[in-house]
Amino acid sequence: MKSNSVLRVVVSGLLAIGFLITSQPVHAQTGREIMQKALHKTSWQTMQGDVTLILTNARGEQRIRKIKMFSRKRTEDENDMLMRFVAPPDVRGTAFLIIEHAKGEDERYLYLPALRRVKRIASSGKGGNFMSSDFTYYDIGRPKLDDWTYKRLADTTIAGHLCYQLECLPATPQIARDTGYNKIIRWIRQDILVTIQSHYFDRGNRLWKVLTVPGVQKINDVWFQTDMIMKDIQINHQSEMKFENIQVNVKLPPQFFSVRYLQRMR
Amino acid sequence: MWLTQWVVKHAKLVVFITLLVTLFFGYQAKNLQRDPDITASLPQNIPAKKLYDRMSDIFPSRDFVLIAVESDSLFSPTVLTAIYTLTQSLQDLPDVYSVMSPTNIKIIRGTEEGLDIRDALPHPPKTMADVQAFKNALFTSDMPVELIISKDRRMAGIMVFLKNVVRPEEGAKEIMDFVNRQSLPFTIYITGKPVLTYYLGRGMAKDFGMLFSLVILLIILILFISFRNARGVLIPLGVVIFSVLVTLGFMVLVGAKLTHSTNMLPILLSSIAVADGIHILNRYFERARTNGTPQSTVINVMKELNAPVAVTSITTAFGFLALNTSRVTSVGDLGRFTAFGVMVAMVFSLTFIPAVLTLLPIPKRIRTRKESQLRNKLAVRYANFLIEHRGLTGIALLVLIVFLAFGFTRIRLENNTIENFPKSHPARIAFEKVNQEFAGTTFLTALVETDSAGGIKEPRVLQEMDSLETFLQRQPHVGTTLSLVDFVKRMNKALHGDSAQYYRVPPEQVIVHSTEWVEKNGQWVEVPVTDTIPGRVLVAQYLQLYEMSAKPEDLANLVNYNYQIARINAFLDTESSQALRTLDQKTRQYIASHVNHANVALTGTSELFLAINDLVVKGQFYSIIASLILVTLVTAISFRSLRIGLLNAIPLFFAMWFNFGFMGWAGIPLNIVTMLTSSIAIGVGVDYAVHFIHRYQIDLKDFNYEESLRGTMVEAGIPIVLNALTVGLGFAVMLFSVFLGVRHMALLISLAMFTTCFGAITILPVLFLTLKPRFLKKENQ
Repeated sequence: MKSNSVLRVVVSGLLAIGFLITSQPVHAQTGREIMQKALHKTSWQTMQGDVTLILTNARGEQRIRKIKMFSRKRTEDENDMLMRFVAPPDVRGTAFLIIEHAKGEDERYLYLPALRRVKRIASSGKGGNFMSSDFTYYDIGRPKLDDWTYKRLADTTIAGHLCYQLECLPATPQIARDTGYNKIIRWIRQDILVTIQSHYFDRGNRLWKVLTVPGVQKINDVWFQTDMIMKDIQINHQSEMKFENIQVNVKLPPQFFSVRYLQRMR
Repeated sequence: MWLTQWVVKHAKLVVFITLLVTLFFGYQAKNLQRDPDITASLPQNIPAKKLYDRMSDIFPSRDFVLIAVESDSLFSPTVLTAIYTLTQSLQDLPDVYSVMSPTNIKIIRGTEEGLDIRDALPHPPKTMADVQAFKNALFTSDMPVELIISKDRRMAGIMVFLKNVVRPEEGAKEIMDFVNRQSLPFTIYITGKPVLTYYLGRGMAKDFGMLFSLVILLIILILFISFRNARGVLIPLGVVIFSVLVTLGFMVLVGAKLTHSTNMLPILLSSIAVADGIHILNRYFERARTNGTPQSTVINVMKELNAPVAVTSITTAFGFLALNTSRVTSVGDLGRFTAFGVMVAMVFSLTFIPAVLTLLPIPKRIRTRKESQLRNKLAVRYANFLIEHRGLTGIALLVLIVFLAFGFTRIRLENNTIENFPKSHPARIAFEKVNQEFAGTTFLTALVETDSAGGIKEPRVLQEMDSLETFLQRQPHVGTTLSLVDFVKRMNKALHGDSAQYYRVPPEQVIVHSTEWVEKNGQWVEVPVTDTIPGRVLVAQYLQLYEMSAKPEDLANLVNYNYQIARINAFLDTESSQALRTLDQKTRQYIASHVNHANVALTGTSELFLAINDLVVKGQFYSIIASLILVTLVTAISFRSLRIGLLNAIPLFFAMWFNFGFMGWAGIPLNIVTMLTSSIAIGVGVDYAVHFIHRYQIDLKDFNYEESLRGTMVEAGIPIVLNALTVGLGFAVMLFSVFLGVRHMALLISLAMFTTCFGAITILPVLFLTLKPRFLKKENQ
């Protein structure tokens, strides 16, 4: 895997999940057309925001992580990204830097404040779950239209919003293998074209995870999912990801995404 | 008596209702489900069981299947490529949580500039150089290689962890089918608790079908030999099949499943249920010789037999109910449902049989029985023998009793799922091979719980876990251990330039010498600094680093996500309860004296096996006492004499004595299956003494002790022996079971039928002749 998965989470997916709203109302269309419109990406040069990740287990115990995220589009298909942990206290100050390379392996660095050292990480990690949450890297990564085939089901109303309902089936067995999903049902709000609910089915075709989106927000004319809850109903575990203070096209110093800066910034 | 009269009057209605009831319950019986997991029948209030179930809440995967791939050239590009591919495709199976194999195990290494975390084999090897690199990486990795590479290095082990939502035996089946479909050119062994559970289920299904057919065939044969006509075969057979169907249907209605115990119910019930029918038809054919209408013949027969059929059925049912003293739910189920079935059979024998006989004409031609004269002669000769040699017989019995007593000390208590399979069974072959060559598939889990979230990251807790692991590793049968501590130590080493002295848990306070960048006069410069960092912070950052760079699933299965509970898994190569007991005791002692900063509780498959063992011992003791007391009471009440009740218990007591003596001498282990023998034998065997005493009392009214014995031996002794033969042979069908445990039980319980019968027709007469108890004369029913 060339492009690094963590990177995809954040840069790409992360906020690219922010879906662009098309101005015209949409009329009778195929499932694929709807998805294509929903995936219509916004363009930004830099982006930053605060992310809160709340994991809750079956007994209601919680584990909360706060991260500050920064990213920059360095070239057309290369991004830089920096995550700085704010909480919990024992990992406060830990920072993770990814410099994407179109050719060759991405550079990944972690700053450990306890050792005051930056460590370069080389790994063949395939991805899996994002920071032990119920979101996989794929769930929050940049959605790929051609990975799935789409079938439009009857429109339904979810939380008071009229939604398109799409049945998404993996386009190839490899996609099913990589994602672990045999089927996804998505509900996409018709007015703003943002997914507000998804059902994920495992490879045994059992309902596995349910995504709900309690928060959407318009930033610079772009609608973002700012609050997402992914619930694994098989183990009764859920993860909530909240975005706050999202800003796009903020000016960051040119050296911001460098190892040296990683070590200095507190 | 009112019952028979009513039945005779409404014969058609009775037959109709019987068929309707059977149809209703029989239809339900279709939905009978099977639960082959022995540990599932442990009661919830057993700590180890509670914890074992709790583990599925805390960790995403609890049970695993181990696939061992054997090849003489394991370390070659072709074989490794095959293992690489197999590992990947196993990971894709829907029931699989994660896979740990030699190819995908994470190797953590410190490098010049940082950290390198990769699969041991990132891509299929092409050359021997690739293979060599892989070997080096694997064997210098500090990883518990014993789990995934065999001692002789000819086998690779792939540990497949199942999702907790999956029934283990179904997950095992999916994996086994998948591996078989690959038709790999290697010898492959698949084992683990889910696989054994799967094979248990398959064996149970096979037993259920085959043994039940066998016992039905046997019953047909016995009935045919006894009666040689259609009604003599069909009517008792009907009672047998109807009672079994009703009982199974009833089990479905109350939500019970077929377990390793209740799986034997149809065989037990059939053998018992046929006895009443034989009795009734026997007397019917005898009576049918004298003239009479069907109605009057039936009424005469039942007048005589209603009471004995009821009493023997009730005592048998009570014997089975005594199994409910066991806390193993499946054993209790067998007791309850067989008791229910015996009652159903009794009702059918007392209603359906007379009803059908009423509707049929009296048979014209009845076979005269020549052999009955021979039998009578033999019976009298046996009675004479006892009368002449009562002293000698008594002494011989005493010698036998003493000899048997020496067997008691040799009884082995051993609940071993694997020893239940014959040596040639694939489940046993795979299990033994894998446990001999790898760290082992039975596991002991130490669940380490701290007071607060994050508590596991405290160095003092990690250090105690580390020394507990070291302790466990030194114990016999422990192949290796796995815990979060291993990851922390590896990270600590890797982040200190792979220096071996850092392969340890960081101390409470860590002094770190490093440099800091500071801005001086508009320029960034590096200056040396020394910090004192809490060890916990360092650990937290290591774990964070690992989570960011490798598979978080590796950790998720070893520590709960808020770092309050962790587990140490010790892998064991044995299921022997004696070995497990020693380990359990030593480990508990160690924990009590060495672990102070966390609560440690023990569970795992090893603890479940031990819990079963404990329940078997206690259950055995209580169920024998309970069944002896119950049948003594029931007979005392029906004879209206406590002394006769106690007299009744003597042959049973002898049969128990014989049972345990025999187990000891024959080397048959006491386990969850063989423990069932005593209560069943008491419940069924009590009938013989009841019949014998009842008849003897009647004869004593007119004759002396010796003459009464001759009469009783003919009138009661012969039917008793025939009954014991029938029931004993019925039980003996279980000798053809897939499982050694069931075969042992078949042997024991068939023997018990003969010993209870022997007790009734030998020990009782010797006692009567020697003691000449007067209460037998005075007190009449």
